[in-house]
Order: sequence, then structure tokens, then C-alpha cells
Amino acid sequence: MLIFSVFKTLTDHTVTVELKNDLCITGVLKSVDQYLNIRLDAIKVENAEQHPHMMAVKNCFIRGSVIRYVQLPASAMDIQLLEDATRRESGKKI
Amino acid sequence: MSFFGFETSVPRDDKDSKQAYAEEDIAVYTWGDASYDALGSALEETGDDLNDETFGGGPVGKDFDFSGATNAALTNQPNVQPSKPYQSDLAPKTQQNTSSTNDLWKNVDPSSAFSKQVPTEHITNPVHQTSAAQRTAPSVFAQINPSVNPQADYNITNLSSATAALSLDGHNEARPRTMAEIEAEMHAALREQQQQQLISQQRERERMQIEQQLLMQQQQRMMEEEQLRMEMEKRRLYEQQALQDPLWAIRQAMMQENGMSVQGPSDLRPSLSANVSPMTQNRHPMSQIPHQPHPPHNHGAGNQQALVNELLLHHQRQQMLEQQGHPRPNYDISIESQDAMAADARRRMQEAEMMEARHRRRMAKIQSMARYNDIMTQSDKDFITRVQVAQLVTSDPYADDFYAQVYASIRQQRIASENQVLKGAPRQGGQRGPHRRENAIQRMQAHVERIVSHMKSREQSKEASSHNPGLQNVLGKTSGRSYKAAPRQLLQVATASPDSRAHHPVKEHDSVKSLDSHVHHGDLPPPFSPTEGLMIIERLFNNILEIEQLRRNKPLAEDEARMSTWKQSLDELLDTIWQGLRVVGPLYETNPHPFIALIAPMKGKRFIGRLGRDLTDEQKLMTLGVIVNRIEQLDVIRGAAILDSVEDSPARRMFERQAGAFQENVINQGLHLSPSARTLKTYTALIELMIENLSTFSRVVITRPGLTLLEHFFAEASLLKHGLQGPEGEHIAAPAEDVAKWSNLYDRVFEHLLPLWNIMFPSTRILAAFPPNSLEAVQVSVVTDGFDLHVWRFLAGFALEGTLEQHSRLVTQLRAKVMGTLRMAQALEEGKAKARKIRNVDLFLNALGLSSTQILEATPQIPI
Amino acid sequence: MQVSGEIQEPFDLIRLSLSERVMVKLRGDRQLSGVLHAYDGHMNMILSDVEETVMIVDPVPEGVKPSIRVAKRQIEMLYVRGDGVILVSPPQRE
Repeated sequence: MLIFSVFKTLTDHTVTVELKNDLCITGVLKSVDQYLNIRLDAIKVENAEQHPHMMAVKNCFIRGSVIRYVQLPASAMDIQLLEDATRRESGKKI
Repeated sequence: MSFFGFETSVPRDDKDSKQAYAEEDIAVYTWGDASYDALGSALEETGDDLNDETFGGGPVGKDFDFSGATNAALTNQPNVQPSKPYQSDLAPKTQQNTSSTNDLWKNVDPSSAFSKQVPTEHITNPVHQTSAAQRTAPSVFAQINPSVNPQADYNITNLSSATAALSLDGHNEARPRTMAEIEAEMHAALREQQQQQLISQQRERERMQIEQQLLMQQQQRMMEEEQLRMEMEKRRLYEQQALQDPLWAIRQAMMQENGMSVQGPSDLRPSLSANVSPMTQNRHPMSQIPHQPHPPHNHGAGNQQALVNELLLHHQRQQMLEQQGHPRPNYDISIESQDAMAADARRRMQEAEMMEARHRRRMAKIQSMARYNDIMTQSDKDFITRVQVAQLVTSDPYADDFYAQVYASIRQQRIASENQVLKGAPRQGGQRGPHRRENAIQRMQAHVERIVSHMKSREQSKEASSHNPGLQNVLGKTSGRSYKAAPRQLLQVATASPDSRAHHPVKEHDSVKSLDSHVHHGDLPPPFSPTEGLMIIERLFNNILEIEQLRRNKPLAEDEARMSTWKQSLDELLDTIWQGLRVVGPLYETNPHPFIALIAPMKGKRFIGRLGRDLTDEQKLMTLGVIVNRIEQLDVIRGAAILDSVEDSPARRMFERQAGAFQENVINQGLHLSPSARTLKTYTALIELMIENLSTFSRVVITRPGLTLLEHFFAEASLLKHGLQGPEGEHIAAPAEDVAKWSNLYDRVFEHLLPLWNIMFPSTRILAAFPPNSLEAVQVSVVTDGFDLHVWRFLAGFALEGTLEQHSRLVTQLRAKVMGTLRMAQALEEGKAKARKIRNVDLFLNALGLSSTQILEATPQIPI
Repeated sequence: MQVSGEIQEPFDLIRLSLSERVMVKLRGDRQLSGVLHAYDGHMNMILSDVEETVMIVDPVPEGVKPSIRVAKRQIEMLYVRGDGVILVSPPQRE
């Protein structure tokens, strides 16, 4: 649930989602769920000319499994906290 | 074509339309009347000769005697057919053919039905016979299969039988009389018909009611199932929505508390309103009819129910309308029979009403019980609230949602502290880190001003004395002596030989050696591999996380028992960490020292930074001691040569980060001493430790991280030396003996540093590679000025503490550097680079009470 | 944790690289170099200061040796979905 937790703190921030089909979508992260499905509002497609079918789309829901990357705002992240959370998540097996 | 009992030919339509008119009069048929139509004469009367041949002359059997047979079977009446030829034959036969309906059906003669339509005399005998038989038992079919034949057909068949009878009779002798007879018979027939219709109606109604009840039961069951399904769906949707949006769940719970009805997930609402309106529309006209309670949440399957309801209501509506006296075609019923019939009908209506009333009462009861069927009860609401709250508040919020929880709390703290800052509230706790730095700088600046003014006054007082003739007008006179005094080479690539070392005991030509990145450690092996080191660090991280979690769960001070256990576990963890740091322990002569190896990775440095409040002063001092002792093993010291490279590279950047992390995290944060431990004595000791091994010291001090460390100790010490400001603003002086020791130390350090100043400047080292005073040199120097900053800074701070004599010696030593820098500044255009050079020099000069402007004005063109 | 020297779980090795620079090989001929700040059991990761290298093979006619282009990209903070990760490796140590 770590990544889910991280995304929860990033709601209402602008992110760029890159899908596995090379579609890059910038938008405001509205909500996320445990499967890391993402809802974006006010989207703008970066390489629009290659994907003209998205011209009329304003908001979208993206299935988590088709995401390759999400570019996050570095200012909204607490790196030390991230690392601590990861250490806890790994169950202290180490 | 005629089908059994189903008249398809044209004249039937006339009869239908006549029925629809609600005529009370019976149509009088005047077949056979010559005046009827002119067609009678158009009939062919000839060609009957061959009839016997065509139809057979023998006696007519009973096979086709349909109505006679059925009549006999049902009413136990012998077939009485007055004055009918062949009738006697029929009677016994009909008696034989009893009951079976199939036989009746088999015996239907299609032609007979057909022939009834034609009101002519041309109808053959057998047909007449059959129709006559049918006449006497006109409603046999009705009685046998009341549900099969619709009412209209009864009329048709009966009427047709009547007409057939007419035609039959028309064939016989007594024609005029039969008309009246026929009429009477027709009346009777119709009366019977009506009675039977009423009965059938009643039966139908009963049936309908039964059906209705069945349907309603079915409906109820369906509704219950629906309700169950709805509840399940709703619960699921609630849970899902709560998962997604806990705020929504909270809002719902709050709304419940406020007494509002719980609203389903928003997508249910439109269907709600859509379904309510048609239902209400249906209800109004049906106020008399008991209506089933329509479930408020109806989509999908609910529409089926709606349809069923509609059908039932329609049926009921029909029945109502019929009951209300939709006029039925009454064909010539006598008044007495009418009364009887009316009474009968009224009775039946009453019965029906009673049944309806009973039915209504039951429905009302059901409805009242089911009124709150689909509305949530308090227990349902509580159930859902419990589920939602359980989602939000887990036993350990830090288990699954650590990042979000802690991030939120940090944000709050940050906002709260920002608000405090804005409001100007006094900062709580000790001033740490950068704040302390700033304050220290401010204090130093003020101190510098004081000292400068003090020295000026001293100078003026000593004007008369000629103690130090050489110091008067020191700057501005270029004496060749200073050059000759130190004719040393600035850079030597070759390793130091013992001779050169003897010749220049203090000048360390083998300083280059330490700049070499791959320094041979020694014969001793490292304590653990880098991987193992990382593992140790990670284990230590686990411990620190446990400590932080423990701190979050700190019990109340009053709860002594729990407090003591809490303290115990905390102490255990701290001890584990201390042991894990391996600062002290069994023979730690490995190279590098385990602790030093542990803080080599960036992760290690950052980890130490978090120990600020977890280590005791004693532990911190021990750690500092280890660091100073093995300072050359530090990765930031060993690899410092890379900082002399002018080129920017990832490795250089990485090293910069490491060096910064060392000073910041390790020294400033992690090993930050509490005020009680921050004494002059402490720092005196530490610096003494540093200069214990002079060669090491020389090597260390020309590296930036090393010099920064020395500067740190020195700054703290000098602050403490000048005394602290007490709580009420009084001046607390340092103990005298400490001060004396400090002065002693200072002098020693001064001596050690004096020959080192020039090579301490990275620019000096770097620019030695270029031809002096060339354009290239100037260009490169612009970059290296940045590298020099820390040296100028330390020089300034150091010089402040010195005596005048020491100042003069410093000046002598650094004249070349200062003049060279200023010369280059003169060569440059006005701009940042020039300003930086001048600024750097001023750092030092101001500490001595001098200024670069003096020099620049005095010598517009500084000679080489 | 097991005593050092014994075999650890693969995730333990990744844990050692927390806060360190790692090289991640992804599907689709992609490679990332970044500082690892967070990971989970699916190998979803959050990296900072990332450099993405994509190997692009231009389609060429038969007989011609295909040329490989390299496209690089710098991203400040990046979430990588685990199902695209092939391997995680620490960069060359000194």
C-alpha cells in the first residue's frame, strides 16, 4: 500500500502519466485506488499529433496496469519519509 | 372458410356491430318472407333430381348429430324434435353418444356452421337437423368449456343456432307460427345466455382474483428478492465508495446523525425520481383498487414488476368498468327475468365487493407492514457507519498508510510553525543548525567591529611608541624582502624525498600525495565489505524507525508502569544503535575504522544526521574523537583531490554532495553537542587532537572538508572564548585557565598554519599549472575564486583571534596572494568576477582592519 | 536479518540500494539511472534525478544493417510500474 499511500498525498497535483502505448497525458491527479488506477482531470496529451483521438477528452480514468511511468512533482515528496516508509513496508525482514 | 364454431363469413360482422349498439330490441328476421328481398325468386329451384344420388338416399345416421347428442349427454333430455323427419333416429343415437367432449368436437360439421349463415330455404335436411339439435341446447358448449370460447362467440354460435333453427323451421310446414316460436325461443336462449354470461363473468372474476392473488404473491416474493438484492448492492456500493472516498462516507454518517435519510450512491438517485412519477400517476385513478406497495428503488427488474402491476390494474380497471354497468347487449329479456337477473347480479356484485374489500384489507395490512421495507432502519445505518469507520480508523494507521499519515502530520506542523513565524512567536527549543550559524556570523561581525575599533584606538595610543617600526605603513610598501623570504616552489609533482622534507620541515610537498585519490590504506584489511556496511546501516535504520515509532506512542507521564517499560525499550534500542555504530569496541585497528567505513556511503551520513537527539554528549564526543583520530580515513578527505579539478563531472558533483553531507549531517546535526558539553575545553581538546600529527594535519587542512571541520571547531571555540550571554543579558566569561590554554593552542596552530596558507588556496594549486599572469590564468582564476572562498573565510576568522604581531606575519605571508588577486581584479572588467575577487580579499583584510580599497587606490597598477 | 555472508532475499539486496543510485533495465529496450527512494513487492519504484535511455531501432530495408539510436531524457521524480522492470542493479562502485 506504499505507492497507494504516496499517490494519496499527491491528489490535486499535476502529474504526467506515460502509458505503455507511449501516450503521455498531463493532468491533475484527482483520485487513486488500491490498484493504482488513476483519475485525471483537465488532461492535456503531450504528443497530441500522434494520438488525435484524445482531442475531445477532458477527464479520464486510467487503468493502473497500462501505466508505464508517472512523473511526479519533486516538491511534493518527502524523500526521507519515502525511504522510511519503504523500510517499514519491506517488513523489517532485513 | 368456417372453422369449428368460428364463423368467418360476412354476415357475422353485421351481428357484431349489432351487438355493439347495445340494442334492447331483438332483430326480427324475416327469412322466407317473400317481401324480404327480391333474391328469393332468383334462387335456383331446379336440379334437385340428383340429390339422392349425390347425398345418398339411405337413412341418415347419427354421426353428424352434434348438438342433439351433446344436449342429450348434458341435460339428460332426449332429443325432442317435433315434426322433424329423421329426428326419431337421432334421439337414441344422441343418447348413446354421451359426454365425451372430444366426440362433440369430432361431430361438428363444418358445413352446418357455414349453412347457418345463409337465410335461405336451400339448406339441406341434415343440416337442418343438426341446427335444430343445436337450437335446443344452445349453450352446451358454453357450459362445457366456459374458458375456451369468448363471450362474443357464444352469441355468435347461439345466434347462428337460433337463425339456423329459424331456417330449419322455415323449411317445415308451420312457418308463420314458428316465427313467434322462434322469437320466443330466441328470447329464452338469450336470457340463458345472459345468465351464463353473468356466471361466467363471476367465475372469471373469481379466477382473476385468484390469479391476482397468485400474481401478487409472486410479486411480493419478487419484491422481497428485489429488496434483498437492492440492499446487498447498496451495501457493496457503500463500501466501495467508502474505500475510494472516505470523506464521502464521513459526510454520509454526519448526515445520518442529522436525521436525513441516507442517500444511496449518487447514481441511484436519478432512477429513483424517474420511477416515482409513473408510479404515482398510476396510483391516482386506482385509489379504489388496492394497489401493491411499489418499492422506491426500482430499476431494471423493477420495471418488470411495474408492467405486471399495470396489467393487473388494467384488468381490474376493466372489471370495474364492467361492473359499473358497461352496458351489455341484452336481447329481449322479460322484466321478471330481468329483475331476477338484476338481483342475482347484485348479489354477485356484493360478493365480489366483499371479496374485494377483504382483499383490500389484506393488502393494506401488507402495505403497512412493508411501508418501511426498503428504507434503512437504524440498525442498517449503524452497520454501514461501522463499516465506514472501520475503513478509516484501523488499529494501526501507520501499518498500511504510513507515508500519507506522517506526511499529513508533517505538513500540519510545517504550517503551524510557519504561522508562528509569521506571527513572530518566539522559537522554542534551542536554535540549531543554520539559525545558530547565522547568529554566530552576526555575533562575529559585531565582534569584529568591536575589535577593529579597539585596535584602532590601541594604534593611536601606541603611535608614539616605535615598538614595531616595520608594521607602520605595512601595506603599500613593497619590500623585496618578503619575496626572498619564501622562495619556495608552489607545486611539486614528485613525491617528497627525505631531503626535501628536512629542508622544508613545514612545507609539505608530499601534500600532493594526499591529493591522490587511490591512497594506499595500509596492510590492515577493512572490517567489512561495502555490502556488509550497507546492511549494517539498513539494520540501524530499522532501529531508528522503531525509536521514532516508540516516540510517537509515548505513554503519559502519569502512567508510571507503562512509562518505565517504554523507557526501557527506548534505552535498549538506543544501546543497540550505539553498538551498531561500532564507534567503540574491541580492537578496532582496521583500516578504515568501522565507524568511518559506516559513514562513507551517503546513507550512512544521513543516518548519523538523524541521531542528533538520540546520542548522549559523551557518545558524541567519543565519535568526534574517532573522526578526528582517523580523519585521513574519511572518504571525504581521501578523495578531496577531485575538488581541485576545474571540470564539472558527475563524480565531482557526487563528491561535493558527500562533503556537504558530511559537514551538515554528521558534524552539524548528528554530533551537535548540547550546550552543557559545548565548552572551550572541549574544542581545545579536539583541535589539539587535530594537530597531534603534523603531517596529517597539513594534508588534511589543505582539503576543503578538513579545513571546514577545523573552521567549525575554531568558530565554536572562539565564540566560547569571548564568553556567552546569560539569560538576563549578563556576560559570562569563560574560565580563565581555559582561555589561557586556548591562547596557547592558538599560537601553536598559527605556527603550523603559517607556511600552509598559500597552498591552502585551491586556486594557487590549480593556477600553478598555467603560466603566471597569462590570460588563461586569469580566466581560470575566475572559476577558482569560488573554490577559495572557504579559505578566505577561515583566514578571516582565524586572524581575528590573533595578536598584532601575528597579523603582520600573516600579512607578510599572504602579501603575494593578496596582491596577485587584486592585480587580476584590476585586469578584469567591472562585473561579478572582479567583485568576487575583491570581496574575497576584503574578508581577510577587514579582519585586520584594512581594506582593499586602500591598496587599490594606492597602487592603481599593481606591479607583478 | 540473516548474518552477513549468507544468502539474502533479492529484496534485501534492493533494500541496500535505497538512497543510492541504481540502474534499472525495463521492457521495451529502456534503461533508467536514478536514485532509488521507494519500492514495493511488485517492484513499483520511485526514483529521483532519473535519466531514461531508450534504444530505438529504425526500420530499414532488407540487407541494410539496422542502426540503433539512443534517446535520453531527464526526469526529476519518477514512479515506475513494476510490471515493466526486468532488473535492478547498483551502478559501478568505486
